[in-house]
Amino acid sequence: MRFIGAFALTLTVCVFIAVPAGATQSAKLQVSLDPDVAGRRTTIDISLRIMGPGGSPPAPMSSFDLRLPADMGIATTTLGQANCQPTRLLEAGLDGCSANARIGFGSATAVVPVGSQSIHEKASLDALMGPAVEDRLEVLFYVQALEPVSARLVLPGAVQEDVHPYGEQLDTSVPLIQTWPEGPDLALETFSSTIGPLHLTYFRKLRGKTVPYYPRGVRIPNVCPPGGYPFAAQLNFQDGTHTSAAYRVPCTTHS
Amino acid sequence: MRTSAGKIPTVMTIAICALALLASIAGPTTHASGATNGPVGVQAKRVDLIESANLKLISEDGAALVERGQAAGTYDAPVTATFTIHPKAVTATVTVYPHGGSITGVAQTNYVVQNSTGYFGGTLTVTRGTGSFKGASGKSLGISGTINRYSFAITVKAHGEVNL
Repeated sequence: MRFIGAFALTLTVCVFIAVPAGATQSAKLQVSLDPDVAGRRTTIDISLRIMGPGGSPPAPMSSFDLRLPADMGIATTTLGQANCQPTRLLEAGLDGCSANARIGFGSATAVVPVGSQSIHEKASLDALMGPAVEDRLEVLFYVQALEPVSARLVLPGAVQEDVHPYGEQLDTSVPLIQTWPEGPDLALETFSSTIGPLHLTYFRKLRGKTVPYYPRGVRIPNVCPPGGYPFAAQLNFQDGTHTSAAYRVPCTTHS
Repeated sequence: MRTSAGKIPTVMTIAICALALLASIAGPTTHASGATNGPVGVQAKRVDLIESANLKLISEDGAALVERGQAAGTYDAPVTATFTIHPKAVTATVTVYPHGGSITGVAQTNYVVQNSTGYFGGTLTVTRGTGSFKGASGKSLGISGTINRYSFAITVKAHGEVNL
């Protein structure tokens, strides 16, 4: 009992030490699965909200890692039957890449601090399969903003192996976007994207004919882990601070 | 003469010692190769395995793809395999069922995806044999292949030396 008590105390101390590291920025992660049935292929919907200290705009982000549960990896899907080159995306937008490269879509908002005020920017977001980088799968988040700042942005994410209870992580770089010369940098405030086949149709040649093909998404394991399927995000900011957020998709009666 | 006669046994002794030493070295080597290990008349056989197979997805077990197909080459035989795909690696357990038993191997390979095809290549270790292939072993056999990312149909080639 004494040992358990000491262990619990150490754990509590560690938790309290860990929290201030990300105290300047905070983040909230939400994830849903559609369909949410064990053993079925699904679409993961990830939403991330980033907040600055005391309700102020967050600092610009430099990278974020999305961590997916064990046995729920992108590598075992049939998503992304074509590879999209980031340069083609920046030059020609979505028209520059095959529709078979799309693996999800969503939206993003950014904030620009101007004096004491903040200007908010909305953008559409598309997730595409990029070319393999150092033999790793690469996911490209293509962000297209119109007003007040017009910008096309590619956030490259490398799919990497993770440690239990996670299976894969998506290490995503966020480039700096200056609003205007000598102006402040855009700071990502919300990021949401699906990864999965929902609303996606691919086309393939089969015996000389072009036929539609519905890709298979991430498979939900047959057994739901205690507490639900674990997802997490680790966020790194340009000012050197970090924060993290975690979310567990609850086990349903189906799982 | 005495001196000369006395030298002969010395030379013989050295020669006998040298033979004994050789025998002591050769003994375990032969043993290790399995020639004298096991029932009399049974000799370890080395087979140069060259096998290729086409596999189809049968089911999924967690993140693993359970595949079945037919192999051709050294053995024309049914094959079952379980492939687990990681972001840059594929691990697999492959079992071939030639007449009279089975041979099982575990593969560790690199994995790269290009459009709708995944490419893997690495090594296969023969870990188990049953029936006539009981005690089968082999290390660092080459294994490579492709994964069709529409259907998860897999082509696989393996080559190397197997001890039976």
